[in-house]
Amino acid sequence: MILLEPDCPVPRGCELKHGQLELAQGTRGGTLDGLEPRQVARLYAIAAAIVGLNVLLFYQLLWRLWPDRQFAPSAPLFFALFPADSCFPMLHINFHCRLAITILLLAVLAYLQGSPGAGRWRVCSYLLILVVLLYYEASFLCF
Amino acid sequence: MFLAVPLLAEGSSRADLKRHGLVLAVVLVSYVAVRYLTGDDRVLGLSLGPTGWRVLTNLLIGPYTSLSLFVHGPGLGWQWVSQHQPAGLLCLSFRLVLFQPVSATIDPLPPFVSSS
Repeated sequence: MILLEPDCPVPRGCELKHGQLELAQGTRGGTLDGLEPRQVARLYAIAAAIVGLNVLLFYQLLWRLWPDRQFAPSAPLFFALFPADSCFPMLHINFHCRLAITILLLAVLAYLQGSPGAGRWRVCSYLLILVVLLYYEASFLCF
Repeated sequence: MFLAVPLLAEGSSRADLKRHGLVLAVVLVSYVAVRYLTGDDRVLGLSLGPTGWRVLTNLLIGPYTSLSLFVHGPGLGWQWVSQHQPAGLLCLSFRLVLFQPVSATIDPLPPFVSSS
């Protein structure tokens, strides 16, 4: 289901980004006004799931790169719990930036996937990075 | 570091890095072309002078905003305290009573650790 924004009359990617919060809350508008506490709690649960998924993917990436290093378990926790990052309560950051990081990490993991089928994984990684570009451009350059 | 995923891959060569950059350039140009054809105002509004100036100044705006927070933050805090004197003084007194500064001391090395 793709929702079109009023300022985005044709499908070109921005509806992917702007539609996430609406899809999560099941309504149009993208704001929290008028939501029940249960609906807000559900949104924060989804945001926490996104952060948790990022932790797992980052851990998988570090473990693949440096399997014999002991910082592999602690670095993803620091990545998720970095105290100076005050954006964790902001839902739009979680639904935009952190979901883009999720796709970016998936693309990196797909790129680093070895044989068999390394070529297909590379193609898959470039398709994923195209999704990142459509979704939130800032994460593209990290790839 | 940008466009550097091939550096993470084991056994990647300079040719892999060039190929990676070429593929990403194709993806990026296609993306900009699609956005231009669909009338994206962010792409249509690009121009060499203002956009270039914005790119250059963005390198300074971010650090300036972060550093100025250390100047504005205490000022705003003191302004709030002066405007809400009872509540502000209460917060300050709690801060002073509950969170006494801890003197930093360096523990001596355990006897089994050599200092050399």
